[in-house]
Amino acid sequence: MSASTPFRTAAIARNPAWAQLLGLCPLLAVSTSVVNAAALGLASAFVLMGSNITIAVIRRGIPDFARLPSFVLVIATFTTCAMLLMQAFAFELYLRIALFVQIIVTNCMILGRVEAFASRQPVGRAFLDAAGTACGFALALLVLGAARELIGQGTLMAGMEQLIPGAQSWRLSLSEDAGGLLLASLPPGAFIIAGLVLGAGNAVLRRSGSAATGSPGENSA
Amino acid sequence: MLRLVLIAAACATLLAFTDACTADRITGNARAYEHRQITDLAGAAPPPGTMWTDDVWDFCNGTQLARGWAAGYGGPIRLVVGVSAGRILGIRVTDHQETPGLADFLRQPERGWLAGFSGRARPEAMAVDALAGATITSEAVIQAVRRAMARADEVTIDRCRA
Repeated sequence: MSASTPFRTAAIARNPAWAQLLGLCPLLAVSTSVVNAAALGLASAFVLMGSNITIAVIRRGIPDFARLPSFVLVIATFTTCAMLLMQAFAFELYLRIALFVQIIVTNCMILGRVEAFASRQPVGRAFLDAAGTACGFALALLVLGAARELIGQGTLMAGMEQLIPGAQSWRLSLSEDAGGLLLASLPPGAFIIAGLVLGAGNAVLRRSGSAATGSPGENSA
Repeated sequence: MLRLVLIAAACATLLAFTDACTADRITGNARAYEHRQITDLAGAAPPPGTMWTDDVWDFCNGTQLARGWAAGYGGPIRLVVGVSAGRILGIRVTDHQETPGLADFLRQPERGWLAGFSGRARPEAMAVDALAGATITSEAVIQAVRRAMARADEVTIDRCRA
């Protein structure tokens, strides 16, 4: 088993959004544009990796009777840190997705990885698993964000300078006064596009033979 | 039990440290954001020496900004209305806890529903209906605009007469 296996399994075969259908509420609500998606992806990655590594380090020190409260405490701490950092470095972006940064703490994807993996594994593997899960979730967000921004507003990566200074020129647009199909920006559009991406992803995975997606194998170790 | 106390103490320390590092920056960001919105709304930076007085910011040149609020779906909606010669210049929503996604129109004052207020003398005179899917939110906005304009009418700033 190669060292990168936990990463690949977590990011692709057990992708939190497409294979396990976890964290769909923020996924569908925030993915109206690439910049929103990237911001939530980064914040989730920060919380996921911070809490997974912390729990893996202190896993022997956590009393069994207070396991879940301790996990939630650690996750809530990292979520609050993510909120403060976003307000300090991407203020207007934070105002737009504030609620979904706050509810990262209740994202079952994160508590699930901490409980099922990080609290039973050495730090290195917990790190790879968190990185894989975070990349998988960010990838799902970005794919959905790009599709919805392109169809809904006719642009790609508009407003990226709110996240990365000096990224104004990253903006692509179909035409000068490109309007879009409003449906794609609204919640029903999110469900329709998410369903199409989910179906396409399953078809690709099935064809490539790694059809283990039906039963997300837990704890291969 | 001691181990739980240690975990909680470590979390509290991390939070206090992050807060200490970011507090100044966040306050600065919030202030700069408000200044940008006000300049944008009034079409000019506020004249020095003027400020918020009783929720009205009178530029002493016919332009007034007035704050208003109303209870929305998820909490109070606070906004600032720009008024010039009795007509609405525009509206900026400064604070709300409405459902993201459904309430995204609150962040787009230049187009869509909020832009429909511009140029009107009275929110009551609006032919704009509440938005389907965000009825409570949009009716709260109408009420907040009404309150802000009433406030602007009733407060006259003595300093401007001097």
